[in-house]
Amino acid sequence: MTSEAKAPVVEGRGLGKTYRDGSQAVEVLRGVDVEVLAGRSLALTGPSGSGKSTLLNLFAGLISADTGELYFTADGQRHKWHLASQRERTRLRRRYIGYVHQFFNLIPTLTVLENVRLPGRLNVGNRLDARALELLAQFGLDDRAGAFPDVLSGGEQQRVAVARALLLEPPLLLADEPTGNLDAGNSNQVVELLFGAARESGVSLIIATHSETVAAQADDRLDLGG
Amino acid sequence: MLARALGRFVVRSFWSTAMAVLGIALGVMSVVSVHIVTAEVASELEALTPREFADLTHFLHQDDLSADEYFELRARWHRGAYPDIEFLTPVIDEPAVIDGQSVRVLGLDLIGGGFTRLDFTSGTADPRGVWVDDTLAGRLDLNVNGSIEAPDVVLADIGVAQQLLGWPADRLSYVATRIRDPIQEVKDYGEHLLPGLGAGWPETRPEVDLDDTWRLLSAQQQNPASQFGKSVLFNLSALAMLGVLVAWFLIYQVAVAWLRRLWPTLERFHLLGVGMTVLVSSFVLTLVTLALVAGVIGTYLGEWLAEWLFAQATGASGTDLAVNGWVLLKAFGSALFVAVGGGCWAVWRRNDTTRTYAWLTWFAALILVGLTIWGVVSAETGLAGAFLSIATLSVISMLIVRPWLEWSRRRAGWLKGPLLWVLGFRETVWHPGDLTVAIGGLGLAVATAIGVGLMVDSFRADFDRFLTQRLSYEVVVEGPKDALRVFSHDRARDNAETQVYREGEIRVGGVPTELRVADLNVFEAARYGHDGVLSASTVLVSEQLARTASLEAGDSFTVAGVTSRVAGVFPGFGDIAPRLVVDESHPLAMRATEVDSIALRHMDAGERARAGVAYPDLRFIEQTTMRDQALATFDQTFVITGILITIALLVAGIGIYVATTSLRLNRMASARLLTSMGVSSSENLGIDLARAAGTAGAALGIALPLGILFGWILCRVINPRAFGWTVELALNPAPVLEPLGWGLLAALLAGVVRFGSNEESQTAG
Ligand SMILES: Nc1ncnc2c1ncn2[C@@H]1O[C@H](COP(=O)(O)OP(=O)(O)O)[C@@H](O)[C@H]1O
Ligand SMILES: [Mg+2]
Repeated sequence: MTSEAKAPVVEGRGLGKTYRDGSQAVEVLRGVDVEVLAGRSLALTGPSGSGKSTLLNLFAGLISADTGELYFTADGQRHKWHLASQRERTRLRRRYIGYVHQFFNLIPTLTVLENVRLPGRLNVGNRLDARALELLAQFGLDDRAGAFPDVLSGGEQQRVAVARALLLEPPLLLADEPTGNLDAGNSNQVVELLFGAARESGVSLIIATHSETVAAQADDRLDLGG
Repeated sequence: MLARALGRFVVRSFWSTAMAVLGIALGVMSVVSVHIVTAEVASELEALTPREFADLTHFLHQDDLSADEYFELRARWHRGAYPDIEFLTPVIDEPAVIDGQSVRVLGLDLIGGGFTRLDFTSGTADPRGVWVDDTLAGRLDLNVNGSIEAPDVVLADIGVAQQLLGWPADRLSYVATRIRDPIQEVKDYGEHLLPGLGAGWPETRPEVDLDDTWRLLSAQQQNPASQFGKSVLFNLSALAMLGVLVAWFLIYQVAVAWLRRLWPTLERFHLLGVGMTVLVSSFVLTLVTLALVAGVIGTYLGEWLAEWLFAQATGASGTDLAVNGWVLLKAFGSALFVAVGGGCWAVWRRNDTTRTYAWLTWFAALILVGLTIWGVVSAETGLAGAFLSIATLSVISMLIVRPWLEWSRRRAGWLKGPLLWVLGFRETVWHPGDLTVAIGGLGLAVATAIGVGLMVDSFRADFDRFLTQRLSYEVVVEGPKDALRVFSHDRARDNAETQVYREGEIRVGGVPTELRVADLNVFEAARYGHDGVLSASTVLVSEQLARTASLEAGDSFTVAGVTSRVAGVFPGFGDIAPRLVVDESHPLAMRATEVDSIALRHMDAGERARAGVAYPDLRFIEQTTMRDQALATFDQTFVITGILITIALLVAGIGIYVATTSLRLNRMASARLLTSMGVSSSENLGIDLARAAGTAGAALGIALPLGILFGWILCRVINPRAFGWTVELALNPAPVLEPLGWGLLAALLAGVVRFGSNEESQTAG
């Protein structure tokens, strides 16, 4: 347990990514080294277009790097993320990664409660159904459980997204400018929830942000500069 | 630049564009093919009567009409008593046997009647000669002046006709007239556009103040055979329009989807100073271009299909059917209507999203319900009224789709089950604007399939029962009259169970009626559903005769000076003309001189073989063979119907495909989110399936009640009005389930299959 706590959940070396669109090629990432230990938080900063989202998507296994090596440790195993098959990545992402996006975090045709329950249902059947309701109550959203996302405010939507990402207590939580669209009050609330969860349940948090105050709360920081 | 942007857009959404073109082309194909086939059949029907009769609209009948009565009528007409009558002429029109040929003798006032089309006045014409068609010319020992197209008709001057019939010079059959109709021209154009339309016009009695002694019959009433044929054509044409209607939904769907994706581009152009009218018209013009392409493809496909259908229906192959201006007008007219109408409507709806028309919708629905009931209840609205009811019912169900989807959306939270299924299923109702039209189109196509299927199935069941009742003799003998006469003579000596049928023609209230004479014993009468025997003063009438002559069982009526009582009314499925059945003892029996066929209650195989040798000219047909043939003919009749419905279903399937493609645009973000949550591609397919099932459920939910209503209208309203017989609606599961199955399959395929890679991720450049 102790050895695992010290092992990095995410470990990347020399990561590079280039997008090609016809004849044009945009090199977004080059030679990025990164390491996030279990239970620690990392802030990704940098201006718009510097590749924060791209890096998060690499960690989530949604895309693969052109160069470098990336390891993801979950379930007591170290997975070679850069060599894993699509199928394998999908399986691991479903079970071990929570992801909060900047917007469009909720499935519009599912109610708030159903959205939060979804990761549970995808992995362990209805065993976490009750837990989903607890999380909503904890986040002050229990009265919105039966509503559809379109009637929720931006702040409420993001809190639901955080609740959903935490349902499975995954070892890795990714957040891509989760407060980008929120006012200061709501923003603080969401950031509190994310960092609080990381501290309490030993989840590793990687958060992309523009905000200095948000970045300052993280244990570590990676500036993609430009 | 705008043109380039639009062009690039069309190319980029290649598959939905191609699908739209294919859909419209299929719609056009169904219209074109049916038009070509029906126009051909209509011209064959018209050829049955000499062209000289084409201008005549009504006929005046009186029992034993004399020339004096005609001249009296004519004198009053000259004095202006009947201002609406444009033309009046006496006619001899009687069946006769001349030189062993059964013919129809038509006598017209060729000298004074103004029948200019006949080559009567030229030097070669002999006033004592006749006009016949070419096949008849060689078989008659008459002086033939020239040829006409109508088969088995001997056309002559009145005097000649009277001599041929052996009639006195002052006896006439009836008086033919042309009565002014203010909308005759409209009707003529209508007939060109929709062959058979004439049968759909409600029958209006012209305002002519005649004595009670005259009975006025319209050309349709006088000539039920052509009326019958036209009704078939009208039914087919109406059904063929379904393809276009569903194509309209499809193009509207495409227009909506494109507009959504194109709108940002158009707005950018608008900001740059391009007028909105220009933008909208370029958009509509793009659709028009597609429609024209689809029109060309559809016309070619339609011509090909027409030839194939014609070969199927008539057994004649390689018929060269003409594509005329009317067909092209209809092909491109419907394609353009579909494109311009659908496009403008989509633009209008888009710019008008703020206002709701709930009250207007309900008001419209109320009016439509009223029209539906009027068309069904009021027999005077004729075939057109019945089809109006079907059309209004379709519009009502279209109007209902959207509110229904919205209503379901408000209750979407109730749906429980596996979350991925739930989320897919709910997508059906989540974007009512995207799916309404496609759901309505599929619903309509399936409903028509159910309605027609129920009708055909019920009809077949009735027909089957009818055959069982009628085919009670083991063997029926047919062949040349003399051979039949000889056979009946020989046979009558040694077998009492031989039935000899004689046939003749007679007018009942002016309507040409087939007279059938037989020994109406208990066994024979049972074939017409009658219990007991017929006497010398009772008759049986077919459903059609009962209708045209307004007769019911128990009524008494007089024909040719003989008064009879109607003992019963029997169904006459497939009868073209009204029928009157009498016993040999009835005074009218002497009017039927020709042996038509002979039926034998019992005849074993050996006997049949011997008879076949003894009477080589006769055909001995077993009842089972007759039954099979009758059913085969029945099924063949509905081949075209089946094909038209299949086309409509195909177009509707394409509509769902296009709608689903545009819906995927809405779901792109959700799909990405699901992927980031680790939902696999097979699970995504499951979501697609769930949504497609939801779509199918909505469409079929509409189709089921609508289809049953259609079936009822077809059986109980359209059949009696068009053909004069009623079909009992039988609600068997097969004709309902089969179209539902096809609809489900179409919706599932359209919802899951995708052509091209990620077409939906591309937006206008
Ligand atoms: N799928 C893609 N195809 C092509 N270019 C992309 C794609 N995704 C991102 N980019 C480009 O990569 C760069 C980095 O994007 P992103 O990772 O979203 O940066 P950030 O999140 O820091 O704003 C941007 O220039 C963006 O245009
Ligand atoms: Mg980003």
